[in-house]
Amino acid sequence: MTLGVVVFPGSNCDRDVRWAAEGCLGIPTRFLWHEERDLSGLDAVVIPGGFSYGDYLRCGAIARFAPLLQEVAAFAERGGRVLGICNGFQVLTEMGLLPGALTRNQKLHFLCEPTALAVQPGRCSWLQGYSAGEVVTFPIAHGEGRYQAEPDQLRALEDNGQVVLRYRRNPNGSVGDVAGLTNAAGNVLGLMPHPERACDPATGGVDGRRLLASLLG
Amino acid sequence: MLAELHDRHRAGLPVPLTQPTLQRDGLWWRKRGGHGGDEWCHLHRDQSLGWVEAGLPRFNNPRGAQVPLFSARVLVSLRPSVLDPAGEATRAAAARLGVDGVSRLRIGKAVEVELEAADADAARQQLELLSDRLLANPVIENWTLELKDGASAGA
Repeated sequence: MTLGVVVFPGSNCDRDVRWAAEGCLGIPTRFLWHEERDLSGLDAVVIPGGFSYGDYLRCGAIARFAPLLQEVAAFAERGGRVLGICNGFQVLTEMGLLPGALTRNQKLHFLCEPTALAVQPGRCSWLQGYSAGEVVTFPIAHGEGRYQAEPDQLRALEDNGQVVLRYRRNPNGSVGDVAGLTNAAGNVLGLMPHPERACDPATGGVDGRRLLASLLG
Repeated sequence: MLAELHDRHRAGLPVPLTQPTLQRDGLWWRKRGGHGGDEWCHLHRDQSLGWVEAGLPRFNNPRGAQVPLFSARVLVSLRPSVLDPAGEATRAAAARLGVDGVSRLRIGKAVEVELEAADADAARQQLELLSDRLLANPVIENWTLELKDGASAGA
């Protein structure tokens, strides 16, 4: 089991993910520079939080064209497990691996606080360590996390069990309280909250451990 | 590659300006100056001209060909169904400035583009692709393209 962590210019949660996976859970982790194309030997890929390429134009818009992400798209297509956290979620929507888009928080503030989330794991392979309806606490840290999708598209996602994480108290105006989404196959998960920041008891809570530990199961 | 250059230099022959910087994927590439120095151009070997930049010629063009240059402006706006909190905040500030009666204020962006293309149709096609796939995210944004009439001569 080896985890790859994408590193863009402007990523700032890459080392947090490595600490959570390798330091807290003992999952061997390799950094993947955005210009690489080599995903050999990896069982899963994390696109971490931060500001890829300065988030110029739109969050994740430039990152989508990174050579590495073309390989990640093919990896996801083959059923490889891909996790996009915060900026990584924005990148996954820009890539079209997940539907919808993430826009400016309703009240414009950058939000940085622990947030209660209701989990509905469904088919999502990343969330099999959680029970349906369980409430967990992950921190959020974003300025553009308001999930946006047309009403009929949101309904289709809900009917298909792809809305796997919802805010208990919607902080940013996301439609349908969406905090995290999975794809139809369940191998790709994108979420605005930071599970990797809820893995070390020293920094408050270990609710996020089971998400990364799903790789060991 | 460098050995070949040194041989030319020692033999008193001119050393051509366009030289590959590295070989990758079986092709020769040259790192181009300007624009932060991060642009790469694929080179091919011409019997009489030596190394030539493939694709559209730009500066340092061995053939000196002229390529029409088109100017365009792409306007990107949030789709009407998408909330624009930054626009709302600006509208509130308008009232504080003393400008009353602003009933709607939404913020988009204008992107000015100059593009080399064979003709106006080709330019439009490229700009539409650019607008739809990069400048705007059609999930949340609409775009309109203003392509100025007539091309000026590019380099």
